[in-house]
Amino acid sequence: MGKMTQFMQWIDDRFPATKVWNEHLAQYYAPKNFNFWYFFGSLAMLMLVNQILTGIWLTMNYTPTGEGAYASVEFIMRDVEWGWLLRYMHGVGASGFFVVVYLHMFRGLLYGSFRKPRELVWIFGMIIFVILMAEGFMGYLLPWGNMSYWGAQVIINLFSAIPVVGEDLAVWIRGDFIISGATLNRFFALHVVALPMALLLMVFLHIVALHKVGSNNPDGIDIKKVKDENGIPLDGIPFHPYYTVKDIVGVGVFLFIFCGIIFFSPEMGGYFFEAPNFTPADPLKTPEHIAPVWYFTPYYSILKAVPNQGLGVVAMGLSLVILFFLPWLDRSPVLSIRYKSPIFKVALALFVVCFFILGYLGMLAPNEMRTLVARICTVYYFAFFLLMPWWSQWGTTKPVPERVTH
Amino acid sequence: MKKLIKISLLTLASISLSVLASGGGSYLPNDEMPTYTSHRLTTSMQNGMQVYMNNCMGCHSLEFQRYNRTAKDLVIPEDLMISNLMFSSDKIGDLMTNNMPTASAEKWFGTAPPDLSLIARSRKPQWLYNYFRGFYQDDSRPYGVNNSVFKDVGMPHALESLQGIQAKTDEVKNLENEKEYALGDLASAQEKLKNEEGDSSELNALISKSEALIHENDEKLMELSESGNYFTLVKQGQLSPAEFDSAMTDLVNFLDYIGEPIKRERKSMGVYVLLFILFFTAVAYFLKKEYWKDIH
Amino acid sequence: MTNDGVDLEKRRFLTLATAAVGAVGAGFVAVPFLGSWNPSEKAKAGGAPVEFNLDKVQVGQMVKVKWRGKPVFVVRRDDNTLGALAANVKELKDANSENAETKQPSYIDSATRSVRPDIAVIVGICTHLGCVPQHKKETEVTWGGGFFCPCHGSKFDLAGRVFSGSPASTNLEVPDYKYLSDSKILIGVPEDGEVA
Repeated sequence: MGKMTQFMQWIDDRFPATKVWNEHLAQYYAPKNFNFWYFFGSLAMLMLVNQILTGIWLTMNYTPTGEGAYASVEFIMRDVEWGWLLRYMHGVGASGFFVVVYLHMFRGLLYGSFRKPRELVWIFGMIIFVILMAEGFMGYLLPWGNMSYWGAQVIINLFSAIPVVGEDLAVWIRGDFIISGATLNRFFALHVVALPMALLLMVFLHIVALHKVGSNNPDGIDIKKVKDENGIPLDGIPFHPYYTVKDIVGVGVFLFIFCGIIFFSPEMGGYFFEAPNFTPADPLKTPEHIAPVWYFTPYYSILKAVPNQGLGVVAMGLSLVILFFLPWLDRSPVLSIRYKSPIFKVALALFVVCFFILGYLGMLAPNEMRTLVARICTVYYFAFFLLMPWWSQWGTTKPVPERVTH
Repeated sequence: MKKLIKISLLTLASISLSVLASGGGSYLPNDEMPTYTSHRLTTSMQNGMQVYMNNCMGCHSLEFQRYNRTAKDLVIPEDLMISNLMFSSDKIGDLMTNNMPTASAEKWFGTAPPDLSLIARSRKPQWLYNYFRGFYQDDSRPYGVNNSVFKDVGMPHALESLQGIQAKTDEVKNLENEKEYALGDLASAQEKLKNEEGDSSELNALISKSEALIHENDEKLMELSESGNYFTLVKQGQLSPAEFDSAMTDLVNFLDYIGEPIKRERKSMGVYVLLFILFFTAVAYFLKKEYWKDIH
Repeated sequence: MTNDGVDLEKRRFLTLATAAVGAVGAGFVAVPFLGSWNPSEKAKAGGAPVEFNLDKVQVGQMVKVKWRGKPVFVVRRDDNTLGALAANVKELKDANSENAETKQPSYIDSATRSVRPDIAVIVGICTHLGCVPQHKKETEVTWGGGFFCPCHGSKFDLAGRVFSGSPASTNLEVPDYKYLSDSKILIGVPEDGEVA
C-alpha cells in the first residue's frame, strides 16, 4: 500500500471521506443528456461562495450604524485597497445570484424537475429562494443610501396593513417609529449571520435530497429504470469527472459575463446599483421614484396591481407561497416540456411573458395603462398555477422514450 | 424549445411597445457633452478640479475623497496641489472637506449645501453638464436666477463671474407662456368633462386643440434648444460661451472622476481579466471535450 | 460509455493545464482579499511623517510624539548624559547595536544612536513585548537613567540601548527622521528622503 492509500485508509476508518466523495461525485450517476439549463445549479453554488467570501471581507470595514454606514461604504470604495472590487463583486454578485437562481428554477419548470419523487428538492429550493429574497432585501438596506432607506420603509410598511397588530408589528420590526440605526443594526446581524447560516443548511438539505432521488433530465424520464449488470444506470455517467469538467466550462463562460459587468458596467445602467442610492439616507426626502431592485419587481408589481393595500400584500405573499405547491399542481402525465401538449408550451410561454412584464412594470411609476397590464398579468400569474391541475391534463402528449435522447 | 423562446420574445416586444409609449422626465436644454479619452480626459479633469476648487469647494465638500489620491490619479504633482489647490488643509493625505459649519449653512441657504463626492453617480454627467449651463435670469427668485434643468434650485449662480448672465430668449418665453396657458385650459376642460359640465363636444375640441398646441410648442422649444437659441447672454462673463461650455465639460469630468475614482483603472484592468478568463475557458473546454469522448 | 482508445497522456496534460490555469486564477482572486488587509488610505494618512519642533524639549526632558499611532520619545541630552552613555558600554547587551534585529537607520551615529548627539529620537515601544517604557532621569534611579519598562522590568539607557539582565534582547528602535532646520525634525522620512 502506498503512503497516500494508507493515509486515506486512516481517514476513512474515522471519517467517511471516500464514501462521501463516491456517493456525491465519483459514483453519483447523473443522466448523460444534461443541457445548457443544467449549468445553473453549480453556478448558484459559485455565487453562494462569492457572496459569503466577499461578504465576510466587506464586514471587515463596514460600520453598521446610521451615522457611519454610508461613509464606511465610501471608505471601502476609496480608501481600502481593492475595496471597490470586493464591493462590486458582492453587489453585482447579488444580482448574479438571482439571475442563476431564476434560471435554475425555470429549468425545473421546463423539465418537471419538481415532480415526484423530487418534491422535497423543490421545497428546499423554494425555502432557499425565500431566504435569498430576505438576504437581498436586508442587504440592500446596509449601504444606507436614500433608496436603501425608502425601499425598506415601503416594504416594512407593508406589515402595517395587517389588521389590528400591523402598526405595532411594523414598529417592532424597525425597533423605532421610522427606519433608523436600530433597524440597520438588526438587519446587519440577520444579513451576515443568521440568514447565511440558514441558507447553508438549506443548500445542504437541497443537495442531500437531490442525491437521494437522483437528478432529473431534459427528457424527464427515470434513468434508474434501465441498468446494466452492475446496477449502474445505462444512461448515467459519473458526475465526476464528466460533469465537473463540463461545469468548469460553464463557470468560465459565466465568469466572463460576470466580470465583464463588474469591470465595465457595475451599475448595469441602474439595475444593479440604483442612482438614488448614491445619496445618503434622508428620512425627510423620498427619492422621486421608488423601485425595488429588479429581482423583486415582479412581486412588487403584483402588490401594486391589487387596488387594496391589505389584499395587495396577501397577493404578493401568495404569489410566492403558491410556488411551494407546484409539485402537486402539475398533473400532466409527462414531466418534460419536450413531450408535453402544445397547450402547456403556450401556457408556459405566456407565463414567462407575464413574469417579464410584471418585472418590468415593477420598475416604472404606475399609470392607467400600466396598471391595467399589470392586473392582467397578475390574474394570469395566479390562473397559471391555480388552474394547473386542470389545464395540465389537457391536450395530447407525445410518447416518452425509454432511454434519454442524447 | 426554440419556438417557445420565439413566441415569448415576440409577445414581450409587442406588449412592451404599447406600455412604453409615454416617455417622461425631460429637461431643456439637453445638449450632449463632448467625450474625451486618455490624456485629453486627464487634462480636462485637472482643469475641472481647478474650476471646482475655486468656485464650488467653499460650499460643497468632497468629504470621501483624499487629496493625495486625487493628485495621483489626475497626475498633479503633490507640491503643486498643496500650494495651488488646497485651501482648507495642508496635509496631502487629508479628506477634501471644507470649513463650512453645517448649522449656519442651513440658516443661510435653507438646507446645507450637499457634499458632492457622489453627485456624478446620483445625477448623470449629462444632467450635470446641462444643469451647470442652465442658470438664467429670473427676478422672482431670491438670488435673481433660476435653473432650467433644476427648477427653483436653492443656490445662487456660483459661476456667474465665468459665464455672465443669460436669459431665456423672447421666443422661448412666448412659447412657454403659451404652453402654460394651454396646460391650464387642458386641465380645466378635463375637469369639466369629468364633472359633466358644459358641452362635451366643445370641451373635447378644446382638449385636442390644447394638446396639439402643447405638443407643437414642445417641438419648437426643442428645436430652439438644439440650435442654441434657448438662452441669450445679457451680461458678459470672463469666458466666452464656448470657453464656458468647455470649462463645464471639464468640471463634469472632474466630478465624474470624484464619483468613482477607480473607474478608469477598473476598465483597463477588466480587459486583462476577461482575456485571462477567456484563456481559462478555452483550456477547460478542451478538457471537457476530451473527457466527453467517452460518452456516446 | 467506453474507455477504449483513450489518450491518457492528453487527458493528463489537459487536466494539469486546466488545474494550473485555474490555480493562477485562484491566485489572482486572492489578490483583492489579501490586499484589502493592507493599511487603508486612512491609516496611511494617519501614518504620514510628523513634524516636530525641538524647542518644546528642555535639556534633560522628554516629549512624546505620536507617529503612526506609536509613541516616539524625543529627549534632549546634556553633556553629562552623553558622558554616561560612554560609561554604560560594559553593562549593555549590545552597545554598538550590532544585533541584526535592531532597527535603526544607517545614517545615525552608532555611539549616541542619533543624528545630532544632543537630540535622541527613539520609538517608545519595548522590544520585549511591546509595552511603553517610562522615562527615568539619572537623578530618579540608581542605574544611571534612561527608559524603564514597567511590564517586565527591561532597562534601556538614554540612547535606547538595553542593559544586561533585562528580558528584552534588542535595543529600542530608532525611526527615520531628518532635520528640516536646526529646531525642526520630520519623523518618518529618511535623512535623504523627499519631503512631500
